[in-house]
Amino acid sequence: MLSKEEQQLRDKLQAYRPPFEAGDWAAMEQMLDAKPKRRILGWWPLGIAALLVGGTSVLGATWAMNKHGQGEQLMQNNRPISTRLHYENNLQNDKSASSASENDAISASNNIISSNNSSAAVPLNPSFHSNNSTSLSKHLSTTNISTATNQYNRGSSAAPVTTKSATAIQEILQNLNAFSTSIDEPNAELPTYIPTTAKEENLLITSVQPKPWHLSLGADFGTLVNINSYRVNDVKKLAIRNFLLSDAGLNVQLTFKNKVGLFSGLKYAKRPAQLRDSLLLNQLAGHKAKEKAGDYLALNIPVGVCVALYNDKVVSVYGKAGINNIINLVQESHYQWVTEESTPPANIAKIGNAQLLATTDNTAVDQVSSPGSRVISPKTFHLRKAPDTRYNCELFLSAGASIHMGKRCSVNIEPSYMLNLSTVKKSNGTSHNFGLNTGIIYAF
Amino acid sequence: MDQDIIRGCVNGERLAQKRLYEKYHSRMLAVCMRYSSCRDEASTILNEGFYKVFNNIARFDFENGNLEAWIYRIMVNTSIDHYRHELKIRQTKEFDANSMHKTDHFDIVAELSAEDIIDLIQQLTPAYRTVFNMYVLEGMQHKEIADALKISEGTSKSNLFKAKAKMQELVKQKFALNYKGYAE
Repeated sequence: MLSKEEQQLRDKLQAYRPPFEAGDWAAMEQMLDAKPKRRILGWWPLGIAALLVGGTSVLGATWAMNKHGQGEQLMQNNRPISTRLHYENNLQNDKSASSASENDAISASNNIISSNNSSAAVPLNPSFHSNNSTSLSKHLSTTNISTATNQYNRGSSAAPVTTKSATAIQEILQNLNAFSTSIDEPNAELPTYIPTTAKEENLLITSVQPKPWHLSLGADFGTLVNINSYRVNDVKKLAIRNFLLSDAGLNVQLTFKNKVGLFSGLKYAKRPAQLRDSLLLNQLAGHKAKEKAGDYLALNIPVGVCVALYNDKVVSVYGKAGINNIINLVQESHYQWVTEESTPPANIAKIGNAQLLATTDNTAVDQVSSPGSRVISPKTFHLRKAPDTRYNCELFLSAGASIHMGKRCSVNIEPSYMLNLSTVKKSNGTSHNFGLNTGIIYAF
Repeated sequence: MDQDIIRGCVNGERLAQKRLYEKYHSRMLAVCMRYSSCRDEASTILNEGFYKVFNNIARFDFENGNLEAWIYRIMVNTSIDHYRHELKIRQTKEFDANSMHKTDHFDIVAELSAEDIIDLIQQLTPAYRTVFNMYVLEGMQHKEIADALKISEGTSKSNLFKAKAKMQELVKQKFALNYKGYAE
């Protein structure tokens, strides 16, 4: 029930008509002439979608790795081993080298060669196994072996080949050459090379087989320079801040043919928070206060694509693009003001459930004179509170170099640029981050 | 006449849009000014509201509906949306009702012009201003206000209470200033 005065006020306002201004219609026309806004997916759904894609990729990779592992086991348990046993039996029991042992040997050599370069190998015609020994030897000696040898000579990065294993492969290929020649000459002696130890057999089966993908795990840490343009009371300001050890965590990367990779990870990070015209800042304005910095302690879940630009035995160069999903855990803000009080104003802790962490006196350089010409040290109050925003996300672009340390391990250095997409949408500022991360990667 | 304008707006005719805008501009700007802190902010809200009107006018039932009431509702909703958007950026302090003292009635409202009242309302914080508008001027109940602004009923009541107290204080200040002016 409104009082008489309230009713009076209501009537007055309802009768009020401010004058028309042509500028309002001009602004309206401008709005109408602008292209209709495309409905852009909110960053929340986009981030979750990116997370799902990344998660699915990692799970898929794990599944594929397990499946591939089983395949290797089967191949190791069935064909090569049985072939070897059969071949050895034939050598020992049937010195005349029966056609059956020849066929087995051919099939074994076929396995070895085609596994050496699976993408280049041409499937052999079954008729080769029985009759057409001449064309078989020609085929072996011209196509597969030369391809395999070329790959070895080039030092291809498709499969990690150590000097020791490379020597063994070359020996195998020489033996196979001799073997294929021997098929042309029925009276010639059979090749002497037979894998006799499990190590050698594994070498044949697994070492030379290129993986179309590999999985790597890494740990990294880095630093961040944040350039934050923002507005306080419609005045544009610029803040440049630097964070040491801003993030640290684990990365997982799935690489296909050493060229394209999908990566994700989990990092604990210290992220710059958007400086804003908060009520806290307004209230502190009476105390000549200014916000010095705002940081989020957050979890980062980057998801993105990696492309190899240059691959070498010693160094690789790559480019990355993706989205950093940032889940803010705690916000820490640092306010500086000039006060004679040794403690901050009593109202400070009531705002945003802020908790006072510490108070520090600033250096003499920051000292200012009070109106009474007395010098008072400005103080910085470090506050901890619930984050202003629980989630935001960043566009992530980087280029890096990996220095290979041995067969599986490499050290990388990676400069990056991050544009905070969440703050771009808001009118009160934009946050740009330049980072430099270093890390260690182990490839499986 | 309204029906011709509406048909023109449905067809996207700029002249019809301009006529509609000119016809309701002052009335709706007065609404937006009550919800904003200055005229510039009010005209931004007004144009956002009219943009919604032009985009959705095909849905308006011009045979039975009241166009002015429909536009008015859009303007109020746009103003509330604007407040809620701003709320995300600014942390708005909510006061404890128990700590408040009872305020007097607006004895001197009759002496104030509409421009003065708008000026005073614009000096309130967004939270007080919005609740004050919704309760006193739109006639909404605290429960409706609480639902619309996603606050508790108690907060709505206390914000209204404090808004009135602040209004009274501002009115007194204004009159003191005027009196001083006359005395000089």
